[in-house]
Amino acid sequence: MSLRDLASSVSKLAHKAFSTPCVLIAPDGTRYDTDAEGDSLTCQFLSGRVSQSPDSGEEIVVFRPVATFYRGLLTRIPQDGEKWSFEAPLDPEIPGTTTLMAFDGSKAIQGGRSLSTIRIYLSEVQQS
Amino acid sequence: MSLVVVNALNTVVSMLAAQAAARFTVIGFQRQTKPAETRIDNVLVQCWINSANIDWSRCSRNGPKEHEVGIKIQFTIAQPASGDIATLTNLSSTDMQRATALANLTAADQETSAALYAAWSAVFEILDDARNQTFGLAKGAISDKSFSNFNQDEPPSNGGLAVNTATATLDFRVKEAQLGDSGYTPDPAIYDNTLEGTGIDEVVDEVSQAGQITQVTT
Repeated sequence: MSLRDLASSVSKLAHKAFSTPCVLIAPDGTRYDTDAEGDSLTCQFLSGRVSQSPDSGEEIVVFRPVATFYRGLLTRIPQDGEKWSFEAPLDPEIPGTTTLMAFDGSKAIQGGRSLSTIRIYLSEVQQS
Repeated sequence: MSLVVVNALNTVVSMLAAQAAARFTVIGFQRQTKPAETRIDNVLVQCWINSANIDWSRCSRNGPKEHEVGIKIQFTIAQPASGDIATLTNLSSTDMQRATALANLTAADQETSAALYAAWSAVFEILDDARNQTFGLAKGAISDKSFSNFNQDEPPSNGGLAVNTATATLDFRVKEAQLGDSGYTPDPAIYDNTLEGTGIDEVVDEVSQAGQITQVTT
């Protein structure tokens, strides 16, 4: 095994070890709850409150959920302009409670210094 | 006795509050920090005096002053995306049903713009209404009332809720009748001229004790 393959395997194992099970729904309605290797689909789900200042200078505190996926484990990569939905427990310590969120493909950031991962900025959804 | 400009701001706030009809919430100051969750389906309208310049070409030194006032009106809204959650979370939904639900999902930032425009329209209609020309103040107290601008900010790029803000400026002139302050009368001043230590009296005593006065001749 080359050093490159070893690094890739370690990265993938680390991702799976510290991840939360989740579900992705693609624009064609396909529900992905398993990854490309047939295991449960997982992501690293982080959320926190951040302060945002629009041009006017006021300060607004916003809840910002971010899901990070290992790129090689995704069966389908979100593309710009596509609408996806995401389902995961907001609090992993409370089983059985999942929250649905959505994202546009343009909010799925990849490349740069995170070549092997995709970072997705999620939106909360309310029933229409 | 408040300045007329402060009375005008209070009138603007109470006028908007009375006619908001659940379309927005209005306050008469700048709130320090706003949690986005409190602004879902509820536009916050903040009003404050942004500028109050005295135009000396329209004033006299001892007579009434004229204030050129700019009241800033800021709109804040936060919205989640809107979609058919029930279909998307239902395991028995078909792929076609889920695809339709996703296609009909409305993006959060699209919802915020629509809410901002609705609130801006309502505020404009209320404050520019012919019945509200004088803001309930004395006739002639307010003149040249007009909205000078409406600016929508660039929304932040990410967040669970899409936040959007906009500001409008309402300009007008008011006459300030300067009645004078109630003032403060200080206690009478006390001047203590007593010299202590080596004063004049002590010098005279020293000369008397010496028994002679030296006459200096030049």
